[in-house]
Amino acid sequence: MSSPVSAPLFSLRGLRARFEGRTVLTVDSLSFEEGVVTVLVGENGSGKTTLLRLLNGLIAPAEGCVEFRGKPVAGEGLAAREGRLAAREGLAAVRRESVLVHQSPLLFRGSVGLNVGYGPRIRGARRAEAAARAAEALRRVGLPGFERRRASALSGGEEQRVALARALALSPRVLLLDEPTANVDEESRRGIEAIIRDVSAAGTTVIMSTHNMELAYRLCDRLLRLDDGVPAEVEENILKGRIAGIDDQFAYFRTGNVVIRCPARQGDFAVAVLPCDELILSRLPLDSSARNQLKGIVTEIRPLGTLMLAVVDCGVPLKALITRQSAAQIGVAPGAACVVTFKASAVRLH
Amino acid sequence: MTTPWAASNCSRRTPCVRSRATGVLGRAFELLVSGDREVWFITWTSLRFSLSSAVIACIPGIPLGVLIALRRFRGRRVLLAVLTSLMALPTVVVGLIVYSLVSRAGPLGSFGILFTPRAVILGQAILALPIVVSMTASGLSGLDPLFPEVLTTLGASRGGVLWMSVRQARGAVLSASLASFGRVVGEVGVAMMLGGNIRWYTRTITTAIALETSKGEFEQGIALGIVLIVMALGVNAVLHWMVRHE
Repeated sequence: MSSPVSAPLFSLRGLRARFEGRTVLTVDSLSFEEGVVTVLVGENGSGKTTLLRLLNGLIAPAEGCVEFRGKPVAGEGLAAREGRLAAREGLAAVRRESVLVHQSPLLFRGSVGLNVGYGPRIRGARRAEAAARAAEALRRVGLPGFERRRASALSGGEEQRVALARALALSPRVLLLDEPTANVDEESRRGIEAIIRDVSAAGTTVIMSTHNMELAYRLCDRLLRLDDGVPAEVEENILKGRIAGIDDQFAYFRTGNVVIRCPARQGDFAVAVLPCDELILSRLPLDSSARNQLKGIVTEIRPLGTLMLAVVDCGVPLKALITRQSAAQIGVAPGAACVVTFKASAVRLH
Repeated sequence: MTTPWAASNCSRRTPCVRSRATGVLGRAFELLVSGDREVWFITWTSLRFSLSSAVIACIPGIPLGVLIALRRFRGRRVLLAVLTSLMALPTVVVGLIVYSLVSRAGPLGSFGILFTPRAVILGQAILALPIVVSMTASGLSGLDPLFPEVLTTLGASRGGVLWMSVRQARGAVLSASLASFGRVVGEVGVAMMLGGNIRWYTRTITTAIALETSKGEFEQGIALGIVLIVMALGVNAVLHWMVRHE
């Protein structure tokens, strides 16, 4: 077995999860690295919540296994006797280091302080320590001094933030969030986004699901799409950066040491999204209407469905979808130089 | 078979049949306020039996109800339906069954508990159990199905989940306990068949009323009836108060 240092935080193999006789999640192989914000997107019923519950060891898969830091949390290892012990260890580790915040806040009857202090208390903290942790967690979610309020008298956005504070009071290494902004207004959504950013900056690994693509693009280090319970490659380039300038025609978005032209829009954008099928690869610069032309080196090419996915390093890695025929014709292969062309209007800013 | 019914001693009273109703009521109230030892002993016996049996039923009943409410398992609906029907279990049937178990020839006859408080409490606890389980389960059905999971992810053990669920639904759990008390305090069948209505021993309010009425002596019956009604109303008032304050 690999050492705990090099093992990914979570790794899933040959996983099948069933719900009421229906397979809701099928994962051949998937891993989550430490310190990364992973955002899960997909339709309702695509298996996002199931995946989060599996990672937290709240449900067991029908087949396959989930490993946390190299130790099985649940799955095939369970059958064997020694496997059961390892699974207990794995589950204990998951319980110790990670916590899931459900989509609906599900606060307990009583005060906010009771809610937020519950986790530390049940894990053996003394009353005073639990209260201190609750106060700190409430401060982090922007609700300082809310301890004595009744949980039933909070607004929707406050409830969601208290639910978040209840998890943060445990100082988790891994925070699992199921649609944290599903039931809140725009202002609360921004607040929650800031909290997640802050939590991630403090070194906590975040794995969250959402329907809000804007939020997904802005927060993710990695975007994972679930299609009917199967993880699928996201066919978009998600470029983090900032607006370097703007004129009457274009906004200039700087990512790494590359500047790309985007449709002129006012706003505090942090992400540019560029669909992989909007990129044209050529050997020589094209004489065209497209306003972005970047020179780069092909670093990787692999099949994706019936097409090929080429990764071109233009200062930032850009993924492009091309047909096999065109890949062969223009000689797209690792190490080959090429030009990436795309229209400014293909870029969406978030 | 000898009936263990002890003869009632009411020689100091005049026959009641000819008294006017107000006279009977008046004497009943007199019995209550004058602190007639027997009336209050019977009241105390009733309370003791009912409280004991309700508590004994709650000890397994509440956790069972919580488990049925929170777990999803095969046959759960059938179990709930059966429990709900058992809430209307005829008292004389429970009396009959327990009687056949604890009578001298029965499998538990060697314990010799027939016509003792233990037999009454056992029978009444059996009556109360389905009420506690069923009402706890239905009371907790209002909890979100994800509630146990929220507790688990925060670090609660199974026992912790159970305890917190009871705390969350404490109104429902208290109602269940009080309803079971209400059921057993007013029943006659079990108390009569298993207790035998033995004076200064197993005579409860209900068995005493039955006996006094059959003898045509109404004062003590009415006095005890008033106590019983006050108890029943009191339990109901507490129930209503709790439901309103939950």
